Amino acid sequence: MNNRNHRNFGLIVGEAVFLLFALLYSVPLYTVLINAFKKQEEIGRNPLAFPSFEAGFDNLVHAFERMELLRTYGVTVAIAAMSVGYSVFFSALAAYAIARLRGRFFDGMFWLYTSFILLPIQSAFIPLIFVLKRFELYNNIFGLSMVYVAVTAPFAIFMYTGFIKSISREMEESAVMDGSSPLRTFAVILLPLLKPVTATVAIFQIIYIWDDLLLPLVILNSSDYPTITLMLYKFFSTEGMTDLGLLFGGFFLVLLPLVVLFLFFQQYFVKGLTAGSVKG
Amino acid sequence: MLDTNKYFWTGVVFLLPISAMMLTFLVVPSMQTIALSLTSWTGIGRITYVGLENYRIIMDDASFLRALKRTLFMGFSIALLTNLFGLTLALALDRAFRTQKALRALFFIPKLIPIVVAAFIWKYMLDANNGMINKVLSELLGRDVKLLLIDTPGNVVWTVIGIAVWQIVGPVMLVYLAALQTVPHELKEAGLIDGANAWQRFRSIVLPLIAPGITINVLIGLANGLKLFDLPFALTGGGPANASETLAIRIYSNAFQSSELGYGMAGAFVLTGVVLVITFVFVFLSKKYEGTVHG
Repeated sequence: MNNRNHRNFGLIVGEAVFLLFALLYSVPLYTVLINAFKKQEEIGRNPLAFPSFEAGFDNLVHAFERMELLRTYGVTVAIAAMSVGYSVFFSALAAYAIARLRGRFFDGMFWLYTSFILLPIQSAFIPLIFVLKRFELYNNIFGLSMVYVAVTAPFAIFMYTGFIKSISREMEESAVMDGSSPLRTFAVILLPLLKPVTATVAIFQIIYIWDDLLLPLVILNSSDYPTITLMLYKFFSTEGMTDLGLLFGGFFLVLLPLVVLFLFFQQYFVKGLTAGSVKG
Repeated sequence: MLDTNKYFWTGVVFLLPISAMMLTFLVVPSMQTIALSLTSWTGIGRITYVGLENYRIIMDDASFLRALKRTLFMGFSIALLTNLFGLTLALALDRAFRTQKALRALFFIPKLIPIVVAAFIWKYMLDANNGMINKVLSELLGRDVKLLLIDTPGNVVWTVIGIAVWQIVGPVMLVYLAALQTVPHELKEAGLIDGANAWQRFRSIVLPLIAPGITINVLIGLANGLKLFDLPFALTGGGPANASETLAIRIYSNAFQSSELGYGMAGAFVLTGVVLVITFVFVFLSKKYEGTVHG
């Protein structure tokens, strides 16, 4: 009994130390959360204190207008929706063939796709620009979306293949007995079973697209439809640190959707990660 | 779709829609990069074959070699530190903490912050003159503190590595947590009964079972580290005095600020080569290790 109390005590101390460390780790996030509600002068005086709420939601409102957040949100969401939609569906379809069919060809394709995970996009982008220009997809959000499909698909195929291999074949076998075609079997039987890994793959892709600066910088540079990161980057380069309240307000609005999305799907995400990456 | 002989061509068709995208926008351009790196192309006009001339120039270019060395150093440091740190976090979190979910989320959230935003927040915190950390430390200690974390060439590399680790450790930790869940409790208890100490239990029971997780995580670390672009680009622009210029930043500026595209593409191919060789060597070694432990 004594020993057990001792152990519990150790666990509680460990947890406390850990929480403290996690809070220290979150100082950058905290800085954004509190300073989004302060005036410039209050941030300068006391950056770590709780806001007095004099500024109210002014920063958020101003950032929303000045940084044209509605349009850039729209652009980024549209790009993410197009590329994640295509990439997830067709990567899963390819993974289905790779996971279920035997032979050297499909094994070889698996390794080929896996090695594409490593290709740095920097190694492609000068010829890529010429390809995009030829198809009139340069400075165009459809062009950028297609490039995102190409960049995100190898990892998606890798994850889906591992996951599908861990699913028993029985349900598919009985569907085939009933005369279901491969495509139908995939769409009706398999796709619903792929939900957890789809959550993981989609969240990874959304985070990547939402965060990426390099490709928008290269492909959308003079477009009227910049992504969030591109707009923020241009905003800093011209305005710098002149209005911190406005900047933190903007950061707050940019962070909000992803953090909410993650907290909402956290369970799914972790489950899919377990199944797709570790057992695969 | 289970009979390979019957459905071979159906399978091939299933590969097509996604392969077309990868070929057009990733693989073929990468191949063209290799071909064009052997020319003196400027983006317009005739393409003249110059053999390995661009590579010879690169190998004589001291600043390119410094960027290459720096990139390797940063890539390996980031891979190593994210894994040590991520595994430590996962081992600590893999117990009955009541706040486990909250802790997990707090360590993951940096990954959700766009790198441009993270770079700006860190700049605001670390700036030598008006930075938040220097200000707060000065007030706490009652004297003028001036930590130069991003403003001198000597420190900036470590600062960038630190921020990159801060950002990437979340997913690495989650993969380790997931891997640790596959270690059966009976095995750990058997180790306890046998009188193995914590390190022995970790090394001979836990480590072999989480080996696939290690492979993936080191790959995540290396891929992120060797291709590092956004963070130093937005934090310091590669400075001060080019001290945080990675290969990716250099290729970017070569491609868009000079007309010597052939030269730029030779640099790009060097980066590709470095990433591919390092990763293949690593995957080979880790498969061998997994082979010996799973026998």
